[in-house]
Amino acid sequence: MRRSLSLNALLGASLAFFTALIGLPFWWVVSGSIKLPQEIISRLPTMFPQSFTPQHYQKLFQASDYPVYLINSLIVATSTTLVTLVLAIPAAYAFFRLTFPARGVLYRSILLAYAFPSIVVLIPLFGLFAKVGLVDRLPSLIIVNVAFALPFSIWMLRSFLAGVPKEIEEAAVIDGASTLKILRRIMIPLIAPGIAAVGIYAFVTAWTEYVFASVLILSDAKRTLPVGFSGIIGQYQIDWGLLLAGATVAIVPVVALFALIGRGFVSGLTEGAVK
Amino acid sequence: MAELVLTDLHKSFGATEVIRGVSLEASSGEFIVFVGPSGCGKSTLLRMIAGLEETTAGKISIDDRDVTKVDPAKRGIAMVFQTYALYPHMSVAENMGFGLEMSGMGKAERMAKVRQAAASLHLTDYLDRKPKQLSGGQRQRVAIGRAIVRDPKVFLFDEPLSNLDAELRVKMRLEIARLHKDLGATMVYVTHDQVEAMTLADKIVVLRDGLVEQIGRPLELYENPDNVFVAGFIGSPRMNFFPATVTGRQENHFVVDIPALRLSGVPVRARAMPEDRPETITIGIRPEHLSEAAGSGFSVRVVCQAMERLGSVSYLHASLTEETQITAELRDARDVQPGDAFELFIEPSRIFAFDAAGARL
Ligand SMILES: Nc1ncnc2c1ncn2[C@@H]1O[C@H](COP(=O)(O)OP(=O)(O)OP(=O)(O)O)[C@@H](O)[C@H]1O
Ligand SMILES: [Mg+2]
Repeated sequence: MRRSLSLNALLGASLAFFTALIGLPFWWVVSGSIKLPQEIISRLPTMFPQSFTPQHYQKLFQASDYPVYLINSLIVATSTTLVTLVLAIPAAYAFFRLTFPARGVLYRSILLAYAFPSIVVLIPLFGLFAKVGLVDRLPSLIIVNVAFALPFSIWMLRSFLAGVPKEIEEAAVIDGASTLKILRRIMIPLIAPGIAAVGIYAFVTAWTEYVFASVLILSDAKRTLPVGFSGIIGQYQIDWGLLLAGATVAIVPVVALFALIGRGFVSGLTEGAVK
Repeated sequence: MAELVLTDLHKSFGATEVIRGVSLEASSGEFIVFVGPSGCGKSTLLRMIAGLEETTAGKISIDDRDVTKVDPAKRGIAMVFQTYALYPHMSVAENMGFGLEMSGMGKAERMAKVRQAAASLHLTDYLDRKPKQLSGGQRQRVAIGRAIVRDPKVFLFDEPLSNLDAELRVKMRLEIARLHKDLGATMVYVTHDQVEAMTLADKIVVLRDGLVEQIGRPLELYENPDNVFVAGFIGSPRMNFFPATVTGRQENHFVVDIPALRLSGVPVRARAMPEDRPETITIGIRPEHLSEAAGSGFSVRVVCQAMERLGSVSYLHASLTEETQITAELRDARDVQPGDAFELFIEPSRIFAFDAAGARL
């Protein structure tokens, strides 16, 4: 398809606009984290750092509890991702393949989970966790995050499963593969893009979750990054350099995750199967 | 010995019955072809034999074993789908060996079988490729190879060649014929393509609306159709049908008037004379039994409307009156133009007769 010059210019301009919109804050945070304090707060903001200092990072890792929070967050987010996937994949396949009573109603109603603002369930959940002794323990956060990530994950994976041509599954049935074998050997590889998307979704929601983490966790050593970090940067006076360095480090796992499994987003995996 | 026996098979999807009592026997090594108009239930019947669709009523046996409720993998069948249905993330070798792997065969033995099948399908050089790196014909050969390595008693094909271009289709058709000869396996093959049906089949099953219209050898169906439907379905272009009035009968033929062709006193052969003389019947003439060469019997004057020239033969679409159309296959019709009028000759011994309900007389 040939595009006219003006359309090309328009596309280019809008692309540049959105890149700037999304990229500039990132650049501001990352470049600011290595500036000297006086440059950060200087009246004339500098787009490119005029000074360089590792002092904020040194302070972050040596003089604060940031590393503890970082590790807690990594534990919570990674576990959330894994548990979500382990539960969502079979559940989605069951919704897709098995027939059982009320399947349609159940499938449609799982998204109702998102009808409740988290603040509504916070208090009852706290009571519940207190009863079973989960308050102030990381598993409580993992449970909550998984519970919130699951419905969407199941829903999304099911539509990815539905995109796999029926004949491929039937061929596997004739080849003698059991339901579990079909799931493991045929379906999971074919819906890898969906699994990647769901994995990233679960990770990012757990990584950034604040409300539950701030209530269910009481002791400082168990805090996750969003909550713990908000304590570091100062209650009365904001240490901008520390804040920017902490924010930069907090972005790293997410970016790494995208780089690592983001290629799974590239679909077209079923190409060559049919037609 | 009967390899595949279907006994009064029925299949309903909800309230609609799409297979309404099909019985069939295929002896070992036979090549059975299902034909019929779109939606008549060919695929459904094939999928029932495969075990991909549950059978509502009736019995399927393969090799003298009742498999009506047996898992697809344990029926001794293999299926080749129209869309190939290869596993896109596996190499050709893995695709072909997957069934054997599922049955627990060791890797070395598996690879030996895969290699052997690949060699017979000219796929040896492609064993490490992924399906998307193959052409359509190669993909279909992989699908066939996947079926072969399972060593099935019955091969099932659902329009396996319809995604291929014309030239490749001819090649693959010959390849399937060769395979059938080499393997000596029983095959059931669904197709829309008359040429495939006529050339491959030992036995053609003509289906309509979930019922068998006729079963027979290809030429038997062509020369001796049981009813109007089969007569019209087998043979291309389609047989011409005209109403006729019976004016007399003799030992083995009727004498009829055919108003549409402005003919009278035409003798029409019947297979078996009915007890009482029907008033009106339908007569059928195949396009290839009309000729422009002055010969025997009867002739009609027609006006050419369109001419399809295929090289070796030409199809003439002509009209006799406003509402009467006739198609003829002509061998030598170079200078006929639309609008030209000319004479077509009919050989009466080639005319088929059908009663009012469509059954052959
Ligand atoms: N899963 C299903 N649910 C309901 N109806 C179905 C289902 N599968 C097939 N049918 C119906 O059964 C009838 C036969 O379908 P089938 O696919 O066997 O036809 P076919 O002869 O193979 O047609 P074609 O030549 O177009 O492939 C059709 O009317 C179709 O609509
Ligand atoms: Mg079909």
